[in-house]
Amino acid sequence: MDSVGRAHAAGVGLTESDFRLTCLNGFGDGLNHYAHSAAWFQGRLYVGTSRGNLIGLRLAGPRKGIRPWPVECPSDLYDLDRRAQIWAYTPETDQWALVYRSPTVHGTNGRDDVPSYIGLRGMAVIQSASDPHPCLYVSAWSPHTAHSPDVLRSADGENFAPIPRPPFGPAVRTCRTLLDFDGRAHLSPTGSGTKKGFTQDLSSEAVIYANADLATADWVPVSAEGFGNPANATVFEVATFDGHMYGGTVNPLTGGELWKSRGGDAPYQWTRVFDQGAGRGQHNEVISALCEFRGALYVGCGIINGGYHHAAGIGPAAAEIIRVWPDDSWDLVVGESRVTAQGAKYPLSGYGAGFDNLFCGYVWRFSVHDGWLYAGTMSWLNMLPYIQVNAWPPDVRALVDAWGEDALVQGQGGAEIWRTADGVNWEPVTRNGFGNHYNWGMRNLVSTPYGLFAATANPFGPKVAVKRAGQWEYTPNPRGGCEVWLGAPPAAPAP
Amino acid sequence: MSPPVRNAPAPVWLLAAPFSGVTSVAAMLNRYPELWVTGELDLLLADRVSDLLAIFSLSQGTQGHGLLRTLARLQWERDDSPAIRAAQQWLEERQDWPCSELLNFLRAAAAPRRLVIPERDAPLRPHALRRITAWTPDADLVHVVRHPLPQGKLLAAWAHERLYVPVDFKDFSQQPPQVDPQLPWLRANENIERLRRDWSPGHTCLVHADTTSNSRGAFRAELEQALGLSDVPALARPEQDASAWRLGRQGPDLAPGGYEPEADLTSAITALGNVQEWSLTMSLPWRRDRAGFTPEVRACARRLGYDEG
Repeated sequence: MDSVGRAHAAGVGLTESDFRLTCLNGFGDGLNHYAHSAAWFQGRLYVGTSRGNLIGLRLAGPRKGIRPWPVECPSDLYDLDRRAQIWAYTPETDQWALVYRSPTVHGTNGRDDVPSYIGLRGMAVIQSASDPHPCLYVSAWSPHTAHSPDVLRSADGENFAPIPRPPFGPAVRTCRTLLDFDGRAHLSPTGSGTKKGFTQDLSSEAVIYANADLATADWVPVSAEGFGNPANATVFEVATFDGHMYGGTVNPLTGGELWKSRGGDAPYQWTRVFDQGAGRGQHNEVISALCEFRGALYVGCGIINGGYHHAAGIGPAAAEIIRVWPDDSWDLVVGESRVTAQGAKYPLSGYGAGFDNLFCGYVWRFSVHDGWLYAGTMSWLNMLPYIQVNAWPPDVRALVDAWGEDALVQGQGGAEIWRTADGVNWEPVTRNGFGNHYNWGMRNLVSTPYGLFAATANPFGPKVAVKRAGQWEYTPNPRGGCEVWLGAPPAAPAP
Repeated sequence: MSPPVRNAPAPVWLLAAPFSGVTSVAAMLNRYPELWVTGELDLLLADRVSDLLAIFSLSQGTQGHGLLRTLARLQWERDDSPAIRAAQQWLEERQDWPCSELLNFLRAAAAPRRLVIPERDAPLRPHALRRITAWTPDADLVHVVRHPLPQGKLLAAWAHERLYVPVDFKDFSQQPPQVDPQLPWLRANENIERLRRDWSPGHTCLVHADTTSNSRGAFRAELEQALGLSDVPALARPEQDASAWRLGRQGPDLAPGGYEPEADLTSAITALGNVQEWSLTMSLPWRRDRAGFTPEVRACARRLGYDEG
């Protein structure tokens, strides 16, 4: 099934020049690396940050092949102020305001300044049974030295407080999913950590929890561990489509799986839509994004950790987009041709994996805005100057040499946004992080009455490694830290 | 600026999947005095000449050779090394041109003859095919198709032990990915079908390249009628002889390509057999698992006029 040639009613598709910067440099603090969550609530855009992501990655354990580390790191991670923040943007005044900062607790490391939350990874507007009106819920990321992660609730966008937690195991550190479906809120753990180490994309439990009244602790698991497959390490993304809840997994062994359920009494009955990474295997290790558009569910697939799952030896490989129909048939929209159990598949868009970009780690977010589907990617190209490329295949090295590392990074570094009105014909909106190659991910795309907001992941602050006269040095980076862009078509001229 | 295209006739696009005989059709059309058959221009890869040249410079294949040789022959009436250098320089001086303007230049330079452009890469990419609609809505489209079995055998023979094979030709369900010609065959032909669906019915036709060797007369008549061509003329000039079509043969060292290298696969062509022996149900010799054509390929082949066999 495909939609080539069908006419659709769509508004004005946004171009790069329609976007303007509303904030940069991590709201003035380069440690705000990721605009990790975002939602439109009571006439304002809310953005939850994660702090010092790339620094945390360096200090969490050895990483071979990256030298120097792209950002300056202290010897003790806890010397950094990693208290996660929530910012609110008021379009009428074009002003951002800090509305929440994580508290600190006495940590198991003996320090009194351990943040409760170092990141705020999921955000949704949900009206739970006890809520008088829709409220803003934010899922947090807590360090292992603090406590289990919370979900924060705000009724007014100014005051945030944790609600009763699901019965997480002790290694659960974060959730990225928050979904309202069938009268219940749903979430799934997506990161784990102990004093022995952490991983932000693999959970110690691959379960979806549900709760009809978030004022209570009545969380119940509604899916079996890994949907019954032990190789499903995490339920990474969830969405609703065609009266079902869909859950996509991380499966480093055979490739990500997509499951769906009509809900009902817990535990839900789930059926598998596809497995084995839709016939691509490990290179579609994770279902990273889900979004309904024009009668199909669009599925972003790829490899965790930015397209190269180092610990599992998977990748690097670029991301794909698949779309699933209500009858569980699926099309390859962007990606690599193959013969599958569902027959021959080739990319209907004509674009290979990563929109023909080898450095596209994953499709991170979709959003439907004014009749168009937008897809935001993650690109690891900006890591190129820091990666030891000696071990790369000769043809890839030759290509990089021919292009020129500087030209590649400066001209094409940065995440991309693409748009489509029919799901098949895609056009680029930006191919270089809106001209800032440090924007390595379009982490959130939010459709609002004021336009489409694009909030970035940009971990290249506060100080970035720069080579000068053959020597590396760390210098302040005025374009490091997350950015938020607002895209709206130009106003019609006055008559 | 390029000469006005106003009086240049609309071009003819020969659209085909890789190794579907587009070069032999192009060579045959070269015999008609009202046509000027180009090499593979690859113009549809980009909107601007600067981007096109960047793609050519990074290419591990022969992209750009056909454009250089065509330009050289149109401008300097030869495609030897000095002319190729001049063509390269000419293009670099026009990097700010849209590719549509470059196409118009070629059309005007060939006028009053009608440009015929073979394309076997753009059919893999709908965004490239859309440029045909945008640039030349008045063009004729000729869908050149070959049975997927001989097409597959030829592509597999070409790819055998080749260091660089385009990813579009591979099956990524296998590790490491293996060449499976039925995938580009299906992809290109279905993309062409979609383009033709929205094209003016009187300006598009389907021709089977398999018939060129068996029933050349019928095939030629089919094309002559579709494109409004005269009868095949007496071969008054050497360049009108298909076998003498320069752009269908190896060029100078600076730009040896620009055509599909099918003619170089002599032994593979000999082993193709004939149309009576081709089946859509047989196991595929290039697949390690010896699987047959997928249901999608078989359905598409039937739509294009092939029996199950």
